[in-house]
Amino acid sequence: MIRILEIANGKLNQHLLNGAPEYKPESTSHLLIQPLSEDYLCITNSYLNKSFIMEREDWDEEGVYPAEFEQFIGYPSSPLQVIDLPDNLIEESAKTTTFVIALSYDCNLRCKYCYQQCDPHLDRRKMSAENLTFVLDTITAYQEKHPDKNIYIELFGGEPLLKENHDDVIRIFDYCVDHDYSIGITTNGVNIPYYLKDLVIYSGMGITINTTIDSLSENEKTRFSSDTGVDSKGSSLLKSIYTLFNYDITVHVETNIDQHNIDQIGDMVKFYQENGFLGNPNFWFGIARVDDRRFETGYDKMVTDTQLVQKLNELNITDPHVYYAFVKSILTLCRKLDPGFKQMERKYISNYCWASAPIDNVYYIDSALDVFRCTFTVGRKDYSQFKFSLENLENYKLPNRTYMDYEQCRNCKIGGFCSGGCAQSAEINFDRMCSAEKEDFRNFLDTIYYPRVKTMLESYLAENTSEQKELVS
Amino acid sequence: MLTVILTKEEQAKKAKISKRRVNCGNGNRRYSVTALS
Repeated sequence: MIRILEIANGKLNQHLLNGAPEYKPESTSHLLIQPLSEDYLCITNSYLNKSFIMEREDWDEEGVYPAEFEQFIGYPSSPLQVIDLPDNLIEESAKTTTFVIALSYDCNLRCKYCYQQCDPHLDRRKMSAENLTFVLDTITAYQEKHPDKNIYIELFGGEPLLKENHDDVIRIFDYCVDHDYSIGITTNGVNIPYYLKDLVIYSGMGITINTTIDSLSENEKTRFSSDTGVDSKGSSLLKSIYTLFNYDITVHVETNIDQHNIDQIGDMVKFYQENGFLGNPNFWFGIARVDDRRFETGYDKMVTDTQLVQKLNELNITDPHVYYAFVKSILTLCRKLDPGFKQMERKYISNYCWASAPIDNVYYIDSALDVFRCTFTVGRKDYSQFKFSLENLENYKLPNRTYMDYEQCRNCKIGGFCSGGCAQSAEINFDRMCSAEKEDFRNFLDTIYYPRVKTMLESYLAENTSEQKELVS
Repeated sequence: MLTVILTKEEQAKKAKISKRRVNCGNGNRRYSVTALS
């Protein structure tokens, strides 16, 4: 008999494997194996999404084991299409389609880390009235063809709330009202005062503002912006945000963390708690990370996923309206330690991110009717998935990128969780992406995962001493 | 908090839209903790 203590939902779940000794693994090289003590090992199988503790004396490398052990250390015939989130999230995604309209790629800020605005080939021309009509008519036709689908509209850019976009924004608002759609707007927030009255008038249709404040310091602009002469200070934006959620408009403020503001997170949460932001049902605070997926911005003050998770663990933020939007390869293990881990990204275990997973129906449509899937590609014409039309929309198949897309990932010890990493990074410099993923994963295991698992084991053994004696005898 | 003053016509429009409210999207639901909120 082999006793397995599986790490799941923040605890150790015991499995006793009594089957006949008839399973002999072909290989164990895809497993992460870590001694926890003289007597115990932690084994993690990213391909089957299993992580467990077993006694060293039961581990026999490529020996013979009870048949049931295959479901812990085996290698699947195809990537798992499982998710460690509630089933209703998948069901909700299946019946939802989100159309994200980028009226133009023009922006009134030039944030130093912006993947999009640093592109010298960015076409900043505005969407024509004809193209906007075509987009809205196509959405209408799509809804008629799929009456059971919930449709969401979002505005993206560039900056959607530029003053010159006003008439088009109102046109889209009216369209949403006519069709009972709610709307999300990703904005830098600079022009919220200009649009404030409109937002209040239309608030009943369900508006969500997604914006960014990277520092609450009066001396800093919100996004490390190069000087465009625009007031992008957090304090100005905070006044607008406070007004919005008090008018029943949902506001998500995200902060992009790097080395310069990682030590400000605790103060930010405290500020939002003490000043009536957190606690208001319409306000949410998201924590994201500055990244450079295509290795192009030259930004050298980034932090890794693990460094940021470490900081957040130290802060122990319990507010239910704080969420994370940055964890990738280590997400599944974070959730094994804490089922309430604050990031619910819709992807299968064997996908790197939502954009590479066949779950969320999200289409970014730009002024030239090019359609993009991944946020990091919006505006880069080489990555256009198709020209927006009902026919092309119907024929489009959502991606399902996994470790099977790269030969070198198929037997990597973290292959089932990393899944080939970010597609953008992999395309530009696979080796650089790969070594960064491996290094950060290793750091996560050594500094967060194994220490926690070890503590869980010690607690388990302390609570089960008598049982332990029985097992031994 | 900023002051928002609506004319009677704007107030009427706001009231009309409020009555039509069907669902409340979560623009950031791809990550949010309570994705169905």
